[in-house]
Amino acid sequence: MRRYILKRVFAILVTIFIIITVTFFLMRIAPGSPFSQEKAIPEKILQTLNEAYGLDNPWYIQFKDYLVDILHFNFGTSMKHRYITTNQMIGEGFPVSALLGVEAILLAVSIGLLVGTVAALHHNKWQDYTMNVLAVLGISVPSFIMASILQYLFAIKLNVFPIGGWQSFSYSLLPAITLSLSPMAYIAKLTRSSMLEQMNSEHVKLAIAKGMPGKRVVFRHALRNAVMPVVTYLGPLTAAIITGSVIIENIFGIPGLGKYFVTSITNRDYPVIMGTTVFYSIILLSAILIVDILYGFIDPRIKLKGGK
Amino acid sequence: MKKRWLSLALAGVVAVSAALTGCGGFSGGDGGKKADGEKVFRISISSDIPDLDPALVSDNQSALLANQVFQSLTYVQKDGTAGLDAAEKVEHSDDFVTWTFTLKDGLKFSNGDEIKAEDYKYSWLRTLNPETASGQANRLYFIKGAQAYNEGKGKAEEVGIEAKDDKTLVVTLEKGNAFFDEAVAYPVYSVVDKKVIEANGKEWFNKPETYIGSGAYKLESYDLGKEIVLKKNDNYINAKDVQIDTVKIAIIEDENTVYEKFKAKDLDFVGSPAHSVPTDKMDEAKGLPEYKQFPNTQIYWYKVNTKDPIMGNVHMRKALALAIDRQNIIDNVAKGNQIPATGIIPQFKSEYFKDNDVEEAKKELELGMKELGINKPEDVTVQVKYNTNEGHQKIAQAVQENWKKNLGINAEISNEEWKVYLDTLKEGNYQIGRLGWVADFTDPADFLNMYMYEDGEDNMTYWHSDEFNAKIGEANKHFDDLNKRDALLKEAEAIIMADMPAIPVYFGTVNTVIQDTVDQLNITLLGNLYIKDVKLK
Repeated sequence: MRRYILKRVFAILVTIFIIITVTFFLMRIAPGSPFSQEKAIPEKILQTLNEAYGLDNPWYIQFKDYLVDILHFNFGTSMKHRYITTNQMIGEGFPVSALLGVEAILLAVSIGLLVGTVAALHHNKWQDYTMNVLAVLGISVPSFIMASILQYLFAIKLNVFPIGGWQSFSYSLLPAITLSLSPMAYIAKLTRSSMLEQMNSEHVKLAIAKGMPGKRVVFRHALRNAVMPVVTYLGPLTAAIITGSVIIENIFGIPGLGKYFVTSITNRDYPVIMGTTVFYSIILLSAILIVDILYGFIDPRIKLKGGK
Repeated sequence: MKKRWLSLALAGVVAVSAALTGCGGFSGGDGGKKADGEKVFRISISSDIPDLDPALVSDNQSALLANQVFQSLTYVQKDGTAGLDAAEKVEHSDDFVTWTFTLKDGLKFSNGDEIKAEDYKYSWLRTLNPETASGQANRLYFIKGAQAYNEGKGKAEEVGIEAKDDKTLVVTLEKGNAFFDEAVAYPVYSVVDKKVIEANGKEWFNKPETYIGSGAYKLESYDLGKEIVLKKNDNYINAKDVQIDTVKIAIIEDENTVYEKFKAKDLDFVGSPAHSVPTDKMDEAKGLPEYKQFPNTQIYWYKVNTKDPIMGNVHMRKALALAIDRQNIIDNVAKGNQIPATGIIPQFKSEYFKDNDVEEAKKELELGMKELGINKPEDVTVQVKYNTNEGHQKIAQAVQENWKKNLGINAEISNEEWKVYLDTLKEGNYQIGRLGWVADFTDPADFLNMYMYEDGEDNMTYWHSDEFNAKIGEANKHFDDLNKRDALLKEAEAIIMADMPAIPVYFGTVNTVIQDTVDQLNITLLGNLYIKDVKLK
């Protein structure tokens, strides 16, 4: 087990190095400078600005400086908001995005599993059909449309939730619901299909034949195996959802990390692009690793390579 | 064993989310609640403030904050001209080269430190200091020796700023300029506290306690990405005239959300420079009793690359300019009651041609095609570029349609992301490109000066005329008689309009919605909002 984890951590470090390198060069090849603006800046002033941010150095010096800074987890000061460090942006934005993400995941997993299981147990009955229609809608309607619809209904017409902003817990509910709908639908569909498969498997049939009560069969024998594909899906989903969705954050006016992640690119804000990319990579790669480790606990049949 | 592990994991998740709720930090209480008669004014901006240091301010949002927290010698009045803020008196020599500012008595920073003329000298030199790396230092290049010092070629002592005594600041300019009193209203000219800056270094603007200015408000708190709260500064020189006690600036990116929050009475004002009313909602907004429009000094135009083989032809440029139906674009696309531009100086609004003059446009096209050896209008294709933005896209499509219908020529429209777009235009890789220009001061020449240098970065059209430059040179000899100067500037405008290197579309306006609880609120002709002058009912 320990050897497996060490190996994976090493692979993660190599992957991050590659991501840093590719990001660094893509950033520099992309046209546009962090300092360009509508009213031109005199050549001399531009030079001063470039010097102040070390952008006048040759690329290998800049690359080396970046690597050294990243090793110290110092991503530098934003070039657009010249008083905010990238660490501060992550520090302020990530907890907000993460809270929203955790709420959304809890909603998606709990309701998704429940609905999927109910649908599977009522295979080809109205419950199943209703769930299928809703799930297709949930997966195919883009989040910005869903956000606008929910905002219109619940905030503007019914006035039960605030329109947008981030002042108390109630402000986080509507965006969390919006954010959860698509994964919820996906989880429901995943659960339904694997539950159907499990309910028809030999060991479940045996359990029923032996006269085991229905509830116990479902929870102990069927659902436990049916949940595997959902766990696989949870890894990348968690990473994507807790690092912030720029669309949802934008519409609901939430001060999360997603906004910085996207605007830093249009602003050519080099330190923030690099910082958020590295941070996102670490979260994504760790989430995948955790899921792989979780497999071993949920399904004893899966043995991790190098594990004992 | 396994079960225990799972329940532990679950407990972990719950603990983490609880911790996040705690530190994930919602910004302070309910925005609207007022405590015992406290006057609160609520607005919003689209993103974190780019620059807190007034010496670095270059955009609207940074200027919006700086205009409340910092103070300069003058400020921008409703009509765009300079009113007195820290200065009690402004005098200038007959040739407008030497300016003498006399400070009011009892000027103080919000921390109680006294303000003397020497502080202004320090502040201006700080903006110019190459180490400050201000992208807006060129706004001080009016001053003698300022450019040399900023570029590292001269010394600070050689810059024409002199603190004669505690109350008198004498400034010597490079060349006479009647608009210098307006230029000093911009935040890069505002006064900062030397003691605080020297004690805290570059960190001084990172904490509310050391973010010290002498404006009508002081920074109470700044929650990144969430909210900025300002409190009335009792040490402000005109504090007795300031009615609003607390200003709450919410940071919300989406225009539609902001507009809906206004309708839910969560915001008191929406409109530039504090966000803007979304174009899709303009029709609805115009019907609201809260709607109010302010005039502004800005232009929306298409620049034309005169080095391009087709666009290098003056008749082609004119044909394109005449064939645009501006009023229709304003009524159906831009929707903000803008003014059709048939000249390029918003202050003059001269008519050098008729809007949507299809007859004349066709004649010009004939002439142009003849000179270029093109037989049919269908054979002409021009490329129109704009920066990625829905509003610009809609206008470009309308223009494309106008040209197709009125002239029969083809236009291909394409967009680029803002920073890339600016580079493309500056490098001359375009035929026709959308841009705008907003005045920094009321001087009409602000809309002409950029065309004086063929390769100037703000020109972009490569157009150049000695006659035009001579006219502006002559106009600048008449700062003492602004009517005469305006007449000469109009002549210069006529020269450029005869060649049409820039096709004017409209003069912009500022569209706002203001709650009926607000009694008095003004957006100046240059687009500033001073909350010190806002009055609630």
